[in-house]
Amino acid sequence: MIRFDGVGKRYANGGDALTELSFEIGTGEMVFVTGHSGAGKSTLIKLLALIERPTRGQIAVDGDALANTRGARIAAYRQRLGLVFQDYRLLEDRSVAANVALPLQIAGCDQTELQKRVRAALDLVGLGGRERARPSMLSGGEQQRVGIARAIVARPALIVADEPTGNLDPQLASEIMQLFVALAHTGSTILVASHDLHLIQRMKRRVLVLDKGRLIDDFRPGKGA
Amino acid sequence: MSRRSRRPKDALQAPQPPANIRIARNRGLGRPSLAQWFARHRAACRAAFAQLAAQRIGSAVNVMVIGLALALPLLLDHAVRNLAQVGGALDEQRDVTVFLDPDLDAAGVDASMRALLAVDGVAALRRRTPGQGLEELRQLPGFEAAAAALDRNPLPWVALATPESGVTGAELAARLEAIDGVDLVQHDAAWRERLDRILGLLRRIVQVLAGLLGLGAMLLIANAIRLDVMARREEISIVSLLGGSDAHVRRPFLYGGALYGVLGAALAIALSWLVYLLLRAPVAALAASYAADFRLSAPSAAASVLALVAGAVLGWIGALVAATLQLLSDRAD
Repeated sequence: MIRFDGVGKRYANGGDALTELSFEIGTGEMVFVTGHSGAGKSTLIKLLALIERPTRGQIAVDGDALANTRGARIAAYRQRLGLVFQDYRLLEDRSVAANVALPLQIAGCDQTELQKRVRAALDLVGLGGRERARPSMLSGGEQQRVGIARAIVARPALIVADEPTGNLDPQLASEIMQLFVALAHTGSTILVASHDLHLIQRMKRRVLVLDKGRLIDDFRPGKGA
Repeated sequence: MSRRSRRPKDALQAPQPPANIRIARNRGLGRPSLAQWFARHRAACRAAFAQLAAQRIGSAVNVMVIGLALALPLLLDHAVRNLAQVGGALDEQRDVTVFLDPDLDAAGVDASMRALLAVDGVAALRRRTPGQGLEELRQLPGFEAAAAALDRNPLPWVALATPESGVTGAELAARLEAIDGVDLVQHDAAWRERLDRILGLLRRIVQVLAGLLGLGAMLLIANAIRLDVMARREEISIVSLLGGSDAHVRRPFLYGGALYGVLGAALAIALSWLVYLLLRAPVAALAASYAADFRLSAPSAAASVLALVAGAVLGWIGALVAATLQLLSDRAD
């Protein structure tokens, strides 16, 4: 599903965010990416979301090289992703339902189907009945659940989350991670970046460890690193 | 390093996505279906209305400024049409006035009238006696006292010659001048020609003004849309990350621009009707004081439809330019 081949990213200030990064993630697999602040987790996510471009190497998703994805193809590619952000990135002036409906509106989904899908996604993240609420009326954990509902509502092939529990307390963070684990059973490929190694290890999923832009470990907790 | 996870039997089952979502996902850049196309445009249209409604005061001020800018050429066009109507009414009065020699006796007058009627190109000839002429003079405002002061009627016999179809008044006037007993031939071609030229000039002024004010309205709309785009940067960034193409991001702004234009044009049409209703009675009274049967015509439906279409097109173009430039500028930042 995802293939990084010798990927490097150097920013304009001369700093190397990623160096010779190579790994593969299979379809339907759930993988955590961890590391200290500045390890390159967010850069990896930005490369996958085509917010940034690598300065070296190749990235391929579903066999398509992202280097060839330019112009209008970027939007089409992003429609295949479900993105979850640390700061939720919800539209404050719209209801929960309207926020979750955004990917479906972009895809041109008809209104009846859209409402059905939004309800189903909100039920899935435990927010059924909160459709009309504004994001500001929700707790941090609930807002992140809205972000996750928005990411899964169009049933993307790949869900990418950047520090989805970064702003949450340990209890809520654990609940959100459990939700990602549950979503992994739906068949989507899931990549979650998080600095919380202890929390990740409890999920017993594959972990990629980055340090100063390099991949230093690739293991599955409980099965030996 | 690649691993594939198996899907457990008791896996959390998400509802199946709607068929069109699968299409959107799998096709990538494939052409959207007609239903999807309509759904996107409906959503963009709703978003544009919502945006205008959310900023009631700002939107109302923008619409009023655009309306005033579009009202001026519309009113001028209306004024020129009415002037042309005056010119057209006068143009129908193509009769050539022939004043006979005041010293002619009755037999001479008869002979001259027969000769005039026999001129090639005369369709009809009407006589006006000196007595009728004096009576008409008395009817004119301010001439009653002057007519009464005359000790004798100084007016000559007059013939009003109507040209045949295809014969101009000027041509006929030239032929009538050659007839014996004719003292003076009067034809108003010169001033009608001048009026036509003035009307032509006014029409050109209206076109130039319409162009300039239309450009002004377009820039106003472009600026309003640019501010909207700037105010919604965060939303645009989120929509873009969720897979919204540039066209998708721009679409609500284009509808917003068109909406500004249409509402501005509607206001301009309303203003032109207001001016018409305010001026109708005074103009009719003024015309009546000159014994003229002139009435101000109502703003034309064609001009109103044209104003609405022009408003929508100008708004759309203004919004397209503003949104595209602002998105490019934001992307460069």
